[in-house]
Amino acid sequence: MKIKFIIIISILVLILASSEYYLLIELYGLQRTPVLLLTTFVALISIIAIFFYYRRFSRDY
Amino acid sequence: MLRKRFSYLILIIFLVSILLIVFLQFNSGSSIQNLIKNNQTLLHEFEVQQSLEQVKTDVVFLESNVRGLVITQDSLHAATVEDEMKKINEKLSKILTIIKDQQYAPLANKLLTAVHQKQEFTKEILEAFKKDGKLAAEKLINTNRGKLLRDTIFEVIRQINLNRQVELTGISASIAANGARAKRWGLILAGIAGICCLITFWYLINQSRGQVKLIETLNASEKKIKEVSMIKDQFMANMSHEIRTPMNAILGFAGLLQNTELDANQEKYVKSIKTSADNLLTIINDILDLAKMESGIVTLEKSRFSIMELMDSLITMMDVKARNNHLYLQLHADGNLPAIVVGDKVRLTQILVNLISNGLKFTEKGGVKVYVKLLNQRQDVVTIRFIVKDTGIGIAPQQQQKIFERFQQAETDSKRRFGGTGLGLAIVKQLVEIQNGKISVESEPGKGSKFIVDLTYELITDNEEQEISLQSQQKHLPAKTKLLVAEDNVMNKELMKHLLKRWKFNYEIVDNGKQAVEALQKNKFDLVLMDIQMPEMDGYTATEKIRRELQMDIPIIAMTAHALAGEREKCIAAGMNDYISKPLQPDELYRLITKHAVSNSNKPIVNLDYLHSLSKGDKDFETEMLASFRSQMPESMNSLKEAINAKDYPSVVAIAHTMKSMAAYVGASELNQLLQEIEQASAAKSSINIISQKYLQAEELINLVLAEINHV
Repeated sequence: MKIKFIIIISILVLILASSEYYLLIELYGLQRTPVLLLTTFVALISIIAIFFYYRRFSRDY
Repeated sequence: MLRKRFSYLILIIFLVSILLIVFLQFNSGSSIQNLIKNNQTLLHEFEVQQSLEQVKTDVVFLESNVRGLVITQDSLHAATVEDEMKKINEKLSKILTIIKDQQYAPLANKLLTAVHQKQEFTKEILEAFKKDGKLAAEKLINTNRGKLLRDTIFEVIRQINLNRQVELTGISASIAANGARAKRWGLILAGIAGICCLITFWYLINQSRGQVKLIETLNASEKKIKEVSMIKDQFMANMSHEIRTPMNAILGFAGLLQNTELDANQEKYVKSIKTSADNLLTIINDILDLAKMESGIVTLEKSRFSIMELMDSLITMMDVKARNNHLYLQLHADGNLPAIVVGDKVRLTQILVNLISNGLKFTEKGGVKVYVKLLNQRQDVVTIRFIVKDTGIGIAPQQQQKIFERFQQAETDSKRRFGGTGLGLAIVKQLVEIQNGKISVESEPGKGSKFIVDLTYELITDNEEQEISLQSQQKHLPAKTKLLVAEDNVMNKELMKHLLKRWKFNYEIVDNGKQAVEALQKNKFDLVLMDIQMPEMDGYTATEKIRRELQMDIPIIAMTAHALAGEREKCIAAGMNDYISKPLQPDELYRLITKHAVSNSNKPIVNLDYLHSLSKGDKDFETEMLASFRSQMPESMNSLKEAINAKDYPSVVAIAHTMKSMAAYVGASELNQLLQEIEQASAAKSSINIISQKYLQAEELINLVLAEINHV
């Protein structure tokens, strides 16, 4: 069960890093609004999800 | 709460670091990418510049070759001129490919036109040379058109170079800027990595220091707990010693006083003293039992025993109490129970006596039923379920778990109504748990309680079973045994004198261990009863001297008022053979003397070990049981004789079965065996002669058993 949380949080951190990276590319590049919005949304959701799973992880262990 | 907040802070720092690292990495990556791109542009620029310079050289070379052809009139020069023109075209097309999309397109076209014109002029010179000869060619050369075209080409190239120089300066500046930016981002990244490392290091150090502090605190607490436990054990040992020594005297002398001639009142008073002392001893024993179990030094003594025999004897013993309270006590045992099992029969007896006694104590109407069932059987282990069900006052659901706690009874007024310390079930629970068993209770107030105990025992093979019956034949009674008693307490010495005199033993009493060693050097003894705490030389040292210096393996029984856990092991480790705690139980002492001072002349007929373990030191109860045996056995023999004469097989089976239980209870194993044979023969309706013969043998044996019981 412990490893499950570690895997989920690691994947979410990767998603956060990737979405931020694409957001920066778009910001310094073509600056397309849908892409900017989508990458920002994914980054925020991944941050919220990290907090949510970390809370569950702390509560269970 | 603070720790939780801190962990969230760490998580936030972690996420911010991730975002920052990605941002820095992105910027750093962009700068490096720009750097690479600018470097490539720079390389192209150098390539173009070099090609332009080459074109310049080729144009000069072309002109020289034309002049050489005209002057020398050598046709070889013509081929060289053609080659040069080709080369110039190739280079020009390459340059135009690189710069055609840039701002230099007009200059490039101008260069192309000038080069083409130059080539056309050269071709004209060659044509004139071929057609009209050297003079015509020289005339064309001298027109100065060639020079003008060459100058035009050079000028265009100069202009191109000049423009590109500006471009090159820009690229160089961009490269420098990108390099500086990459370096700056790199430094920031390294700084952040360093800060992260520092934070992590600080966190780990803090954690580690916290853990070290925690371990130190735990160690200190553990040490304190051990010290407290040691003080508690020491206190219990001292109290046990202090209480048991006077108790020894009270019980011993009350017993002796009971055997003297007393009037009715005196007898009543002595009986009260003895009963109260017995009750007090039971309470002390309960507390010590619990202390022993809680300190975890209780050892289980595995032995082979028959569950059915144990249950029969237990029911026979407890039935007296039940009948006195006008209650019934019934045993319901499964027919498929194993004949012999291996386990701690004393602990089992203790558990069941406690549960049945409780059942009888808290039941005013009805009675107690005991069920024994085979729960499951695997290869060499068997789990037996014991159920003690009463029709007593019952226990409220919320009290059912509490009753297994120390000093707890279901209702607060139970203590007042029924008495007791509230330790019984706590001891039972501990006893069950140290045997890896389970105990539970089901109860309804007013309707009664049901205690369920599951215990696992090992099974034995048939060969082992035969071995047991052989072993049971090998116990012996004492003969003319000479005992040495080392005891410093005057009261205890008096008690020992009376007891040993009563049992008709030869004895010598000394005051301490030193005298005991000297006595052993002078005279021959069969057994030593050694007190532990004595002046001059204690029991442990004396034993060591007897074993090491005198090289004697004489049986030594330790007598001590220290009844705590580990005392027996300490005595055995010191070289003693057995241990008896004070206050001395005369029967227990007698049993130990008979056990160790072996004589081959007599065979055992009775063994009261089991009775002692059942009674838990209740002498009145033991006396009552033996009196009951003495009075009931002859009556039962008469009934048995009548039933045999009347060939009433069912009655013979029933009477023999009841007598068998009574015999098992006093440990008359041979008599028990004989009665079992009568029971089996009658059940099989064998010849009445065979049954009569066995009856005669049993009659003879019963007389011996009764004689021995009277002696005890």
